[in-house]
Amino acid sequence: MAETLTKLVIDCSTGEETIVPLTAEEIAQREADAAAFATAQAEREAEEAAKAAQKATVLAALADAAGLSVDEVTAVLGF
Amino acid sequence: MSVTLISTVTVGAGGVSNISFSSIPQTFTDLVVTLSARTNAAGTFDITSILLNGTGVTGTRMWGTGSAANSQTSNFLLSSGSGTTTANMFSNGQIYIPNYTGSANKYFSLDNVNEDNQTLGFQTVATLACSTGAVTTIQFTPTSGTTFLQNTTVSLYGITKGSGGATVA
Repeated sequence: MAETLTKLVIDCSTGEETIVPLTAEEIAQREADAAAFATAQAEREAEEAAKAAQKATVLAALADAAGLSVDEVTAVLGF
Repeated sequence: MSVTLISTVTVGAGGVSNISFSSIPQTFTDLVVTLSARTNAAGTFDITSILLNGTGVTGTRMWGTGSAANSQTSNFLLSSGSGTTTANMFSNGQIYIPNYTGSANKYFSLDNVNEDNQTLGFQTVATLACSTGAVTTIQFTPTSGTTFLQNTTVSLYGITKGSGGATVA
């Protein structure tokens, strides 16, 4: 049986709390937001991974050129 | 300046998918919302969307994890604890909405912290642009998860400005 999604509504004029099912429109909007967020999150994580890989490549090249270890180069550069 | 609690709610057993404050009184100067949330999302954090008068709010979200800083413009704003976060860890957030009864475009601020009591932490701030009229309804919806879990708490306060220009005791 599908999960019933509910909304807790607090009427500030009366203090009354009511739990009602989400409408079809609200459910559709929620699903669209979830998909958009997942996409944005995946894109950001891919970008961060690419930057990390690029940084590792550059550090390795610097270390090789300087005759130092990557850790020594990182310590000198401060990152 | 005075602060008045308008309404507060704590989610009960079973959870809810959306928390909505309706018929917000128009008698204050500003609004403050405090939120402590946890959802059933599968990851270490979830993001809560904010809707004013039924419309999603878009803003610039900036967050730091202690090892990196990020920014994003979206309508995904508040981070909250979720499924794999250490048990009983809830986020902590506050939204300040100045001049909420006015019809002009408004900018309001948000700050929020969420961590898993292990290695992950988020400190988020956001600037939100709202072009709606007077704020009468505020809704919160999780984005990755479907449900705010039991003991999620949201409180709505009204701020009334002081009078004149004199110092008020």
